[in-house]
Amino acid sequence: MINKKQSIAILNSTAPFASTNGKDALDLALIFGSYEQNTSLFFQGDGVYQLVKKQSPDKISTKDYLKTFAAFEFYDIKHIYVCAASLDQRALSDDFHIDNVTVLTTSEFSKELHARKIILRF
Amino acid sequence: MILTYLGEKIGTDKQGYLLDFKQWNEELADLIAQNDQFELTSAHWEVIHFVRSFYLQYNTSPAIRALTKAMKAEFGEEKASSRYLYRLFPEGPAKQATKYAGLPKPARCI
Amino acid sequence: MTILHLIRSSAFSSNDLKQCISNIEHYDNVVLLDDGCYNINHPLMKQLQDKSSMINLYIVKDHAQARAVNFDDISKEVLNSITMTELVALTFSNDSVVTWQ
Repeated sequence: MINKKQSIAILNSTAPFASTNGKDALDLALIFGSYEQNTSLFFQGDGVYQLVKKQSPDKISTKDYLKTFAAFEFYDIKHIYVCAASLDQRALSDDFHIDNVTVLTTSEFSKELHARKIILRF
Repeated sequence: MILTYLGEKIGTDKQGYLLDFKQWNEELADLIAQNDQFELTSAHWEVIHFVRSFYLQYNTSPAIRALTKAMKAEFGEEKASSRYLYRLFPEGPAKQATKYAGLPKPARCI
Repeated sequence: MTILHLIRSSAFSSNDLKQCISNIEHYDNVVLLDDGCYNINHPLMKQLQDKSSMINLYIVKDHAQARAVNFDDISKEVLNSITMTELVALTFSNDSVVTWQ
């Protein structure tokens, strides 16, 4: 059950490396996690590119913040949602670089988002 | 700040954290601890190695809460309390252990 | 749980409006402001208007007029023009606010 009062959604809508949006979203998620806030991550639009396997940010001299996603369990981030339509549009499979990701239809995705008290979009 | 180790100059920031985590080894860790007049026991080393492997795996220095959770998964309940870790590292486990593990100071420093 | 959706960018140059539309539920409120006013003439506007029976759709009048965006052709039952003061009131009457920009 989601505690609506305090639940936080972090909505990722941008691809990982050209902007700092993804890294900023991650930093915020880890801070909320450290303070035991009920935080869920949402990936939609180009945000789904953050979950693609076998990326090599070192080739473009960028820090690999995606590696940190695997540590979410230690920050109590249990809910990670991805929009299926966004994957389809980009010809991506549901084979991600982290486990425990839930793929939702567009309408399920929207309903989960509406269940959160605070929504922060990156 | 510059440390001299085996005739080589090793760069650190103002608080003594290594600038390049790849330069780290156990002797260097001892040297950094000596500068702080801090003695490293085997219990300290266990945490230092753990924090370092956490960083190498996840590319981030763990804050205290994540550190205790991850240690619980590895070593079990008794070593996974923040009380145990604060006894070992009175200035803050995340802050101090990362320093001797040659890692950047955690940005989220709790 | 209602969301106040703030559309601040033009769909001619970004995907924000499209993403917003996929996250609209019954009773939500949608406001066009800043460059979001240009969306009046975007094909996606039809999808928003189709939802007008389940949502409230607004445009910030000053922002539209500043850009010479004309919305007179759209019925007031579909699109309401509001002031910034009324926008502030909307932020209090919804459970959460998302800015799409």
